Amino acid sequence: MRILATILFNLLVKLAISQLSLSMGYTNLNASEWDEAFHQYNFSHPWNEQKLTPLIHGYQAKLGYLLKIKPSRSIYLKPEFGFNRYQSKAENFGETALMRLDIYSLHANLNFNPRGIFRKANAGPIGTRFFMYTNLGVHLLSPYSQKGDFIYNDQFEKSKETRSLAWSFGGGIGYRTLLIAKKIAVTPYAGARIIPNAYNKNLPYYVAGGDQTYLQEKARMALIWDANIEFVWIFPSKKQKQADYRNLKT
Amino acid sequence: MDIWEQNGTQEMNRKDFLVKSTLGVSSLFVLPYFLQSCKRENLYEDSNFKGSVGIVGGGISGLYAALMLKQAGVNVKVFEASNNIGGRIKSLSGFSDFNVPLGAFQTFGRNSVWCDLLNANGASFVATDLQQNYFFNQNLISKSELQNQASYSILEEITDGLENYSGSDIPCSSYAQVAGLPNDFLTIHNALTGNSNGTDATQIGTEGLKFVRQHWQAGDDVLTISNTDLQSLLEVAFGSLTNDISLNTRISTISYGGAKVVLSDSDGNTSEFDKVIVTAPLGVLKAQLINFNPDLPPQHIQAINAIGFDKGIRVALKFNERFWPDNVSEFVGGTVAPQYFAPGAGGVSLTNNVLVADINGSYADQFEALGADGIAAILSELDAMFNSDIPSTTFVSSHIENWGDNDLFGGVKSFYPPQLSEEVRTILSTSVLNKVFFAGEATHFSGHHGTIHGAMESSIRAIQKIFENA
Repeated sequence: MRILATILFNLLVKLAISQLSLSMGYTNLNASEWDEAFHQYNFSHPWNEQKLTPLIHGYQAKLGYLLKIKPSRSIYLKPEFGFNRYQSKAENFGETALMRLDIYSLHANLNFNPRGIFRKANAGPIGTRFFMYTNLGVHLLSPYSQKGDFIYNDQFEKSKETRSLAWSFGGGIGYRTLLIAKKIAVTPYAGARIIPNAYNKNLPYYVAGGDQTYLQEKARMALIWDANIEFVWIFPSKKQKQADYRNLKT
Repeated sequence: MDIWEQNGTQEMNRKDFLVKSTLGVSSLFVLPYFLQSCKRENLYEDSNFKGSVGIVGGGISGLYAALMLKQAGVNVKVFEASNNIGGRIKSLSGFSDFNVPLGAFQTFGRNSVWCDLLNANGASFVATDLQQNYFFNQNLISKSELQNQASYSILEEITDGLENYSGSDIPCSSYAQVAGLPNDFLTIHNALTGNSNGTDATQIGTEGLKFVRQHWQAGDDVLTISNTDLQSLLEVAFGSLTNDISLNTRISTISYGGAKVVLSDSDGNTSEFDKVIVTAPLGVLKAQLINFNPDLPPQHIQAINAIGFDKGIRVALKFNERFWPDNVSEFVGGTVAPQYFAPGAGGVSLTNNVLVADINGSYADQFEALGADGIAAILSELDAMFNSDIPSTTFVSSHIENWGDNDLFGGVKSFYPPQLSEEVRTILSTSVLNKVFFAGEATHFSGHHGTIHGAMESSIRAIQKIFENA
């Protein structure tokens, strides 16, 4: 119990001195097995003028905290909640076909600077300007489909498995470009996540209805690219600030 | 002072910032195009198949396959044995003020390519507030009245509740007995489980119905078109195929032993194709009205023989006046005809003076045995249902469409008899030597067999296999 309390206390202390991070950006989904459902839909609807594009382009938003792990080696931990949305829409004969995949994610990013491995980086509250990161995460895949006034989720959400979980790993690079009013650091960064086992049993059915072609319910490997702008609100504690500046002077 | 790095790196000056931000922002704009340029595979656009395809059968499955292949630039020809397209989608014109459906006429579920095709061709649907009436204890009652009956919960459990069935695979009629369904519910139960699936409750298995309920993906709505009939709509939707369809051409032999597949018709004409899609009804395959040379593999023959395909009769009955409520579209639970439809309900017809008796399985045998007295038996049943002689006194004329007796079809639609593995449809759907492919409702192996959209989905599968193996 004491150990748990100590861990909790330490976590709260860490959170108190952490840095709030908000990211927004573009994201690109590459899952060829799921693309196939869209190709099939388009092929099987030769009368449609507008085609449904596979779920490729999307946007994302992330909210996280930057926790110092070892500033002297420029190692930081950023637990992060993310939301990605990919959408495809086509209008034919007065009827809208809309397919959407929302991905909710929970990530643990480990930010580091390779230079810090070999010599002390002596970094500040959010690390060095240039940094790399690697992450582990879990995703909740939540598709949505609407064709005219038919909403697939309304019909099947209760009776069939419509959402699924998948884990991921990934990495990327970033550069802390701008500091606004010494409080908000603006950082473009880009990275990739690999979901080795992106499983959603009914996703192909959302797009292509009663499948007879063994459309893959499991994307062998879904790859998510993203390019973001991150805003980190820097609020070092007084002691922390003094310590950082003291380090700077030395 | 540098807040993020304290080991000597200088803070960025304005010029550095502008250069680096411009580069960063530019890269964000360029990245999507870069990623988009990475070509992704599309089986249907990238297929190497440039050969020819012969399609046996001009029903919905064959027509739809031809339409898709034609858009892909494939040389295609459809051979239809009768003198019209549509197969089991057939209408009777000149009988009333609307074309009376003699085959499939309802659309089950909105989430289907069939529903999309109807929308694309301007179909509008009857409002879904039409009701069913049930012939129970010699009385015609509404659904809510039926639900108030003491044993209704048993009926519900052995029909709608089949999705959760955990017993052995037995005929639905046996399940009704085991569950203790009272006798006065049996005809309704037969209509809901057997007749609506093209047979009767003694022939259809519980596991088969459970499989359908578990795998159904099309949605629950039952829709009827109000502004046209399905056969007329098919003629519009597939009008672009006119020159690719050969009517009155009955394929009698499919020879697939050589480099090409040779189709021979009953007049002795032959045509050669790289691939053939057989969409003929299961009844035709069961009756071996198409010879395969060499013979089909034994597992295909076993599958063809094992899948259920029963007799079915549709009787259109025209009356001087409508004696049923305008908002009722179906009467369920007869002993002569398990189901009666009012296809003109919901504004389809101004007069709405036609009933269509739907008689499948052993009930079709019984009706056939009645011979010329069959119509009288139906009218007598209607008199009993409506507790008056108005049906028999207002009767004008009838038309009988015997699907089972017609060797171009041999029955109505496929079903799972008891103790039949779901695998049989997968076996039947497998191509033979990558030359002969099978499509049609009976080859749908994931729950949509016996439906129009199931037949269409099987065509997509057949084409995908052709493209994949090219």
